[in-house]
Amino acid sequence: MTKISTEYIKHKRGSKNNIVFMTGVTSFVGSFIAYELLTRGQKMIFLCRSNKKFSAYERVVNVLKWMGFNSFEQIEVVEGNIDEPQFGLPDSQFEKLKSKIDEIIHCVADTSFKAHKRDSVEKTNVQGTLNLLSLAKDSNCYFFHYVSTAYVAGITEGECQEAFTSQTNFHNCYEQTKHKAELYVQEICDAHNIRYKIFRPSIVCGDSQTGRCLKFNALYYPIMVIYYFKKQYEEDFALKNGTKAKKMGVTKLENDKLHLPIKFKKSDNTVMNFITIDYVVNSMIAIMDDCLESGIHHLTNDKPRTLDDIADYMNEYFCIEGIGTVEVKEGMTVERNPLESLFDHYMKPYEPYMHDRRFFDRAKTQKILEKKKIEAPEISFKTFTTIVDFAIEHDWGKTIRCNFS
Amino acid sequence: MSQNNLAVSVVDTADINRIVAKHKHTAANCNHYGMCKLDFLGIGVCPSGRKSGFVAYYPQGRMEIVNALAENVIPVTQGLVRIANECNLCGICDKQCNYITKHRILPVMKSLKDYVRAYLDDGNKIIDIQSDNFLKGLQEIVGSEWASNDPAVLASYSRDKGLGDRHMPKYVVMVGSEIETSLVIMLARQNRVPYTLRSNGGNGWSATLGKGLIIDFHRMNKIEIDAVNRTATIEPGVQAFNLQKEAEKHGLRACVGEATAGICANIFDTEINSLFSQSYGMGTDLIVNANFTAPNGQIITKDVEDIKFFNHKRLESADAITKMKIQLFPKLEEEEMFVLPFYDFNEAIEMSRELARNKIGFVNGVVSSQILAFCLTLTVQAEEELLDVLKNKLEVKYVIIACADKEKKELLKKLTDVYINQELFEIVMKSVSKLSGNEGVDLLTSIPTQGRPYEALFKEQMNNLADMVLSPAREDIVEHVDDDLKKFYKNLFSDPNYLNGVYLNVYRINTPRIARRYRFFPFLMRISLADIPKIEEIINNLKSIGQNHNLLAEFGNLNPSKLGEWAMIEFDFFFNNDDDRERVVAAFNDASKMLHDYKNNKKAVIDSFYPKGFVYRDSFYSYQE
Repeated sequence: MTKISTEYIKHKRGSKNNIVFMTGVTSFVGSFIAYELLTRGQKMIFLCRSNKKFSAYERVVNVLKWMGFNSFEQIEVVEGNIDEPQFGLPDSQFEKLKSKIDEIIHCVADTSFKAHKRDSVEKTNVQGTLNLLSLAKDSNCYFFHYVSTAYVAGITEGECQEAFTSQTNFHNCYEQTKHKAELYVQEICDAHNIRYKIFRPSIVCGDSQTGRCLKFNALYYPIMVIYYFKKQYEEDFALKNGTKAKKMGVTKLENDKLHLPIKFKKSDNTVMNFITIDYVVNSMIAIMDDCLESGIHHLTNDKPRTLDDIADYMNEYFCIEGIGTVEVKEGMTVERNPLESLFDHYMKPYEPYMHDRRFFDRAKTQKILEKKKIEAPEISFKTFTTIVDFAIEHDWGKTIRCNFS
Repeated sequence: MSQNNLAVSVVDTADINRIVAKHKHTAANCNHYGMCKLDFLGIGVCPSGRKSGFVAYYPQGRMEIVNALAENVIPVTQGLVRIANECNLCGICDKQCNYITKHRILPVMKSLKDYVRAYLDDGNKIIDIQSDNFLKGLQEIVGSEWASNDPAVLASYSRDKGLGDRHMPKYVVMVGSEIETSLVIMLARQNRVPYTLRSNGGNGWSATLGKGLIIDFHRMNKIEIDAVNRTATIEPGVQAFNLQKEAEKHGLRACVGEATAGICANIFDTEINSLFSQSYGMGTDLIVNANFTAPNGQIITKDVEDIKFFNHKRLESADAITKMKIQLFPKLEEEEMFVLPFYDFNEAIEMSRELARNKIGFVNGVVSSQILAFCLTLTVQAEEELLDVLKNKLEVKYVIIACADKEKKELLKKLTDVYINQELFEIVMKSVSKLSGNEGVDLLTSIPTQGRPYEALFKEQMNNLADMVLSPAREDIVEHVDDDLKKFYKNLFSDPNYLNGVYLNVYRINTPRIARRYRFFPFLMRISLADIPKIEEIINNLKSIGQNHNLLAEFGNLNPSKLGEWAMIEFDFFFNNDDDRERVVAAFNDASKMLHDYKNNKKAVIDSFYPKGFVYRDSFYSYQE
């Protein structure tokens, strides 16, 4: 395929017969992007799997309904599995699909960090991307948008460029496979004159204004556990004079606040880079609209937070005391109480992101976003409150996910 | 000899038959473990069984009699009337059976009484069963009450744990001594009557069934403990549970397998494959000497060094073991059970081998989560929920069960800090019914970690957390049980033994729950632990065979022995009465063929495997003319 002009892209996108094929519509980022594009009138085909409870179509419709989108004439759902060649579709159906699509947005990812899940992570993140690239090169697809991660930077410190890296050391299989997939996107798209965009968000949390969220992981996990402990131990104090709480070192203070003795381990001068979903969506749409050449974009926050910030937010939000941090230097052993040991275990996979010494160059991205006055919202206590309020109201996603997963 | 044609004398009154027919399903699903012969719940044992001895007078036998009546294969005889009348519907069996199988069998017992009453009220005749010279000969030896050819009595010996086919014997005799055994064997030989020896009869491969004479050793149940020399002299009717109880009175312990297993038989067929194998040994390790009654009636005492049939040579045809002196072992200081969870099969086996090499634990073996879930729960619902939590949430697929004393448990803790100790075991046992859907369990197992969820939660320092999350309460154990049994179970579990890991391992009162929903046939392999991945390969092949035949097939347990050089592995194929018999047999044949291939072609170091078409657990031998 010869590389088509940007004029053609503008024309094609404006013609209303431009069709976007998208994976991961039921994922957090995918659902928000799909909603935004659909409300702009975009025609879309979604690749989705069915599950025990719902057909592929039901899953897509239910997630879009939850997003607030209720008109489904402009969508088509293809039931298939990205891990499989041709997504497991029969030849005729795959040929038909090839003939329809103009752009691809690839949001599906296996975000597991677990080493023992490496094979399945690799299958989805690398082989799945290759399967999708195979469709792209054999079709009329002119633009391939890939949602990657800022953490393809791997094990490093300092500035990370908005460019491909030759990194070989990674914290986990997620980072490694996303990095590998990026390279395939570049190689295959370049070879076939397909434009590509690689979006690299950092840790995504709910909407800064509404708290809306679909995946309550990462930042949410420690908050979820603290919330649960607070409930349980307060009940224990109310009903059993805190018998069980006291065994875990949990006390009631004179001001009637619960004291949860949990100090998160931290390293000096490290930060956590959170961004909100509204920023991700606005940025991606702006970049897709305004920058029609291939490129890589960091969707990260220039004002990252520290663990101390988050600990303070938790104390304040839950009206408790005791949540804090303890600095751990290399080779140093810190005594841990049972609750802290539990948190250490849970936070272990997230350590590279909680004790981060990487910061992300955003020069190219900033240039585009500045024009549209898009800025990453600061994760202030107010934003934290909005996000956590929504999470609690929706039982950490249980009341949402039951509609499609 | 009697030649009763039973087919012409069975009741053909449809109304009366309905009384038992509606209980056939429950009756036919008796798992034939025979736990109803043991006072394992501290509420006594069926008084009728204790008095009259024959299986027919125990609930196990009555279940089979109801099954046989529903199938119209036995008539109403004097024996049947007596069996029905002797049951006073005390309800002991109902609780015992419910603890193991979740069945309610009192209505089955009642149906038998109702059937007989209705039959007689209708003016039907009691069928007279003729005696014969052979029976008279037996009765002369053992006394008239201890030998029978009554079809009701015979029916109770016609099925076992195996595939379920009925083999109706012609006679049953309950011998009371070695001399009687000798005389009975000689009589059978003289009259060319094939005979089968039986202690408790809980055999997985129908080895306790026979079409001639059944020699039941249930009356020969004497136990003499020599506390000084730590030995027990036992008769062939002695069952593991009762021996253990007796030994405990002297601060001692026996190496046993299943609670109902006849110890003599158990030693001679599988050498007692149990979680004690590593510490107490197997087969010859356990014996001081034994008396054998030969086919010619001669009683011979052999010291252990003269007992040649170990190393898997066959016992001389039709020898009966009529007395045995076995080793006992001291109870230790501060014994405690530990459950070590694993996701990976090989890791579990490696750790079990490591414990064996370091002589840690008088109990040590690996079992699957499925088997653990069977054993720790009272109901199918609780079992399924526990299994779901174990496998899908905590990611525990296998566990090591280890019991250690004060000294060894410190060594164990040096090898791993991930375990369920007695404190946590009790918390979990009390909370089994509320694990599923528990907010805390769901939350704490949903957070992805680099390892497995259990690695963070099953630590001693987390016991207080588990206590908070699960809020265990004794009354919760009875959550899923029938309302009228709740009070009984609450009382039962106020006895700490029923929640004590060491007690449950020593007395093995929960393991028959494996057959709660299924019958099963086990394959036993003695295999080298040098090549653990090979073991996993064999297990996976056996699982595939199960899948090919649409049967639940599950790794049962692995018990290391000889300091971790060898292990006995049990792999179970589960089925129920509704399963196609041919499918079950086909799986059995495929598994046998596969294991033969591994053994004969030296693909793995398998020393031997069972079944070889002969004995397991309770019967030691049979003589077939």
